[in-house]
Amino acid sequence: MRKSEGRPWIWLLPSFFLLILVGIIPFFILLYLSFSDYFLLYPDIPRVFVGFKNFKNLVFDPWTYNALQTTFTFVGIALPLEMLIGLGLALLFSRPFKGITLLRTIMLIPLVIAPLVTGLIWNQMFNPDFGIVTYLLHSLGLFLNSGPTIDPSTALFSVAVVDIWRWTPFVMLIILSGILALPKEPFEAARIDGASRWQIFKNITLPLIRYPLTVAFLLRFMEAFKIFDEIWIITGGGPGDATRVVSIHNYKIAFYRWDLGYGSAIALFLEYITIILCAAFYKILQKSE
Amino acid sequence: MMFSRSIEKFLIYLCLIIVVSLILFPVVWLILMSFKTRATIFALPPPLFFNPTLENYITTFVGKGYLKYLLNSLIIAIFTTILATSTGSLAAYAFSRFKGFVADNHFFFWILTFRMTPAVVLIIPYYFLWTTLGLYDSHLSVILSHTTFALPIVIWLMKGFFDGIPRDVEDAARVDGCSWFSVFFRITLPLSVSGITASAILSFIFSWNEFLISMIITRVNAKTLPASITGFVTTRGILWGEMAAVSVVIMIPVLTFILLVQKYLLRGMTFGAVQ
Repeated sequence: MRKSEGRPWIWLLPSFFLLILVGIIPFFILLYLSFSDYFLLYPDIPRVFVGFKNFKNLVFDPWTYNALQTTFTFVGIALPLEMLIGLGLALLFSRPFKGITLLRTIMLIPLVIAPLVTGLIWNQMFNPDFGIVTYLLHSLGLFLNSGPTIDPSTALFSVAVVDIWRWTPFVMLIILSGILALPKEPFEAARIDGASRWQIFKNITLPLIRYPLTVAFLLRFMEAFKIFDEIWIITGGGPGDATRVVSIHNYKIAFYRWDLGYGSAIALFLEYITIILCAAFYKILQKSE
Repeated sequence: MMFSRSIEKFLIYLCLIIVVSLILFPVVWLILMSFKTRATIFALPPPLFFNPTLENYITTFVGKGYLKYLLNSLIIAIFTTILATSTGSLAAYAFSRFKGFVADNHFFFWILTFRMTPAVVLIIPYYFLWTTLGLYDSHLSVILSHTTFALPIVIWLMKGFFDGIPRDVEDAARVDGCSWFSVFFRITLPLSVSGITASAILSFIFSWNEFLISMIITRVNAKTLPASITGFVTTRGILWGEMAAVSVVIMIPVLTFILLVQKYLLRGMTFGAVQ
């Protein structure tokens, strides 16, 4: 008994048992379902093996392409803005001021609030009839007969604003921890040499915080790619398909059209992308060690 | 010189205050909404002063039985936390101490992918799995499902903590005849209380906030508070006040936790990339 305790497997067993039950078995269920025709609407009809039909669908379905495109547009709007504003705020919050610790703590609030609740708050504020944001926009003469979330041309941008509200503090805090850990010497040397603020920022600060910047970028990319709750509560993927990102698309195919076969194929594809993104993140983490 | 300095200082303070207000406003707005009557919520422009009422809280938690969902949420989050923290710490210890066993790097990476998997990928197989096993709408199924996501957080965070504990003490104890397990429980664990607290709280926050999976695999019996929110969309429109009251209750524990673990929150959310 004593000897076996020194082996890693004993320690890993409980976790692996759990992960096999809730992580590996589901993966095989997905694989199995993605090769069959399975409509929950007609549970009596037996599931049939259909080969690669669902995957063929996946490749040639313009609807899924649209959802992917919407997702990347969403990430393309939210992510650069979060990085830029986050960097700016990190520089601002890195100054030693009275009460700055309290302000930094307040910045943590959006991170821990349930995404669902975030969605609810902004849904109410965007409400075309009585939302405070719409009210302010109306008084500026904008969106007079609609609201930012029910106008198809601005709906995606509106949910991106919610994402920016929620996640910019996260980016900011990651970069801030990088800035606070910077060594003092190169900055003093540069100041003595008469370098301007912009030069110091561009040539010293930015290269030195490359690591936190990359971490923030990748983590945000992964999270933004799988966004569901907020968009689901605010627009439900509408108006039309304007905010139908790939998570919502997948959900609607599986639980609105009840086409679990095709839904599983899309899910497998999403998992594949997730693994690629994780691999990139893991490489960067290891490099830093 | 002095003059421009103080102007700069003033401007920075102004910026900081604007940013913090923008972050706080939606949260405060929600809390205010939960104390408003239906008529006040719809009033435009929004009144600055109003008579606060507890009506929304009473209707939902006393009248409509949301107390049960609150209890479900608590049970599920607490048991997810216990399950993930206990099994996850053991695994993290293995990853930290037994370097170089078969494919340990691959396993460690593999665990990360679970945390990053979109919930929507897992809802189809979970629905299928739990109905087949007869566990649909049970607390156990939600707890196990949430553990998929909580466990990787614990393993990654705890590995960082264990790496920071020097091995010399442990080795000395083992030379004196202590078994691996007694070294772990008597020496390593007491040294990593703050890490365990942080992991536990992060697991709790995750499970407490989770919406999509709970919505799919529960109906009445094991329904959690977030999953119950959709019930406020009625044929008479959305019941904003009551929805706000439930949202505030969802927010209370996580806001309390920020103060306790703010140091480790970021570390846990970035898988130790930020120390």
